[in-house]
Amino acid sequence: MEFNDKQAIYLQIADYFCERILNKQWKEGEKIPSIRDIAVQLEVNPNTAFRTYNFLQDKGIIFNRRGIGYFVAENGFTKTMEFKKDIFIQEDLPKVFQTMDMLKMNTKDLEKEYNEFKN
Amino acid sequence: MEKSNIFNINRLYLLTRRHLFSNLTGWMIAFGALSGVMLVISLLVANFQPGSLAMLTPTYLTIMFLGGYIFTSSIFSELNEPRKATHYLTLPVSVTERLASAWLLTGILFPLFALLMIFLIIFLANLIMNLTFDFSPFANLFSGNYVNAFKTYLVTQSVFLLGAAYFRKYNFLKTLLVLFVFFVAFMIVSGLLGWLFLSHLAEMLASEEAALNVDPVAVRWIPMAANFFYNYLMLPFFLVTTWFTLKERQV
Amino acid sequence: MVDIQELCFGYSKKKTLFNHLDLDLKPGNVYGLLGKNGAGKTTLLKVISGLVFSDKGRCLVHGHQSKDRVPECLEDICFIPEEYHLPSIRIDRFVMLHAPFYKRFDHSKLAWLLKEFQLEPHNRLHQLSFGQRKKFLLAFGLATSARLLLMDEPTNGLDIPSKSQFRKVIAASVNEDQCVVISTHQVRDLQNLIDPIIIIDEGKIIFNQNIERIASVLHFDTLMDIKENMQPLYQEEGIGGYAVITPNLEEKDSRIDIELLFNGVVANVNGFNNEFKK
Repeated sequence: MEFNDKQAIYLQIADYFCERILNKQWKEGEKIPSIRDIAVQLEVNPNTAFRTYNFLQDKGIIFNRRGIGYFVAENGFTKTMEFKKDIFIQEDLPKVFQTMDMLKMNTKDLEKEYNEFKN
Repeated sequence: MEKSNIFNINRLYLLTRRHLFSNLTGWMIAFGALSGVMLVISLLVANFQPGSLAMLTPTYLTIMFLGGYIFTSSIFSELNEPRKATHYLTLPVSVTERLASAWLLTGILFPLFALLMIFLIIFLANLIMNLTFDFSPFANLFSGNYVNAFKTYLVTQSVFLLGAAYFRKYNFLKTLLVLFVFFVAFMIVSGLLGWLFLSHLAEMLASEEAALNVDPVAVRWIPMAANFFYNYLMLPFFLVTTWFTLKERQV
Repeated sequence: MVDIQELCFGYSKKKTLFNHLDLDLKPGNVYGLLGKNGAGKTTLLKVISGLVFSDKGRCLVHGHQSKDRVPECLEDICFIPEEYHLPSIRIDRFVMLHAPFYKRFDHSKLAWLLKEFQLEPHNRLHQLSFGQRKKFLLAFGLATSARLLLMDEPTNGLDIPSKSQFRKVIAASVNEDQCVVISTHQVRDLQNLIDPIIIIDEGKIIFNQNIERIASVLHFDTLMDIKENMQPLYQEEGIGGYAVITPNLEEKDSRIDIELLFNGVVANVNGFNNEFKK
């Protein structure tokens, strides 16, 4: 996995997890790799990996069964959707709007582009 | 079971084994070569002067002593190269074990092995040249001569053990140099003392009355003390000094 | 685990290297020890492992004075120096001679690590390349189960796949009661592995913070230009604009650029430390 220079590593790992849940590679209720496994796979400090797990647990996306490991929550998919939507609205959209302003585009133009993309 | 942090027989064994096996090839080659040379000399002597093999024993002992001193001087060679010293000094063994292991190898095992080798060479030389089985050297194993030689070796090599632990380079030559300087200094001092003492004595002898008071014990006191030092104090003194030197050694 | 207080050290009387240095190392961490050339990274590791003695102050490891070189304590320290000499014997023989010194030696772990590093027990140590020797030492050191691992520039001399293996092995085998100290100036090799970051400069530890805390106090960013009202703690001009470190006022986690942090802290010690005191 290649990390980018912008975001904190533990958040980038969280993103990677969300992606796997959203594309159904990790299904709801399924066991996910251990903290140690992820640290080894991504070559990061186990403390960093632990932060990712903590973070996603707080969001209700994954949960911990003591002594067994971490699992995707029963409503993990929906939670992940909500979480990613929040990020999109709070972080990505403002940048898009800024660019739109700069290029003097409005939502009508956006609609047109979006429809073309969908087709 | 809690192991002592000062001395543990198992750690001593492990350290000695490590030392032995890490250097075995080099030591075997040196020992083998030296023994070969000595055997050839023995054969030549036996050839030209039959019956004089026994006279070679002092030469053999000299070679053994010299070899032992050189070997002793190199026993802490790991300490003299920072990259090796790092490994040696971080081994989980105590100072006492480091010293005991080095002393066991150079002071005890080496002369025993060397003596055995000397007997073997004499035996072989006799066998080859005279076609006789001469077991007499083995019978002499515990005779006064060899025991004395062993004791002398043990006491004198402790000086080289200190030299091995103290110097960082040319341990053998530097130890020799120090010994030489020490003896020269000792000679000068004792000469001066003797001159002072004797001239004083001469003065005393001048008056008959005083001469009666000269105590021969006082005159014999110095050699006795020296003898005592050599027999009982020198070995422990140098071993203890080596212990402290090892303790203070850094990379 | 390591408790250093008021440590003073100098190779000669005129040149002091450490001037009343304090450092406290705790288990469960992979410390990154950073410093300029000659700042004393290697010497500090040597003091901790009892190879050189301090002039003043104390250095306790597992409760023992490190300069006493107590066997029980040495058994729990593994020091992997940058340059190392190994005897000219086979790997299995080296292990046979040295493993028994360590009562918690883990032979199955060693076997796994040797396999991971593609080393064979019958390989002769003196015939290995520099990088392979280093990997062997690392494998042996980790297998001793020593709780304190000190590594001086461990990625020096390792090829690219080996560096990746190194990171994996460290991430995999270091547990909660172990403490790893990695001295390095090749930060890029290890930037996701080391946490906390320790910076040594001018005889003292001038910075010692974990990644979580650094990310909560400082913000790292690359900007096209620097606005008037913005007062960065540190900035560097590069190709893509300015790399800046500012106080993290918006409380947003950013990716920490350790090299930038190092340069910043060395240039502006007080500015940075004041942020952490707030």
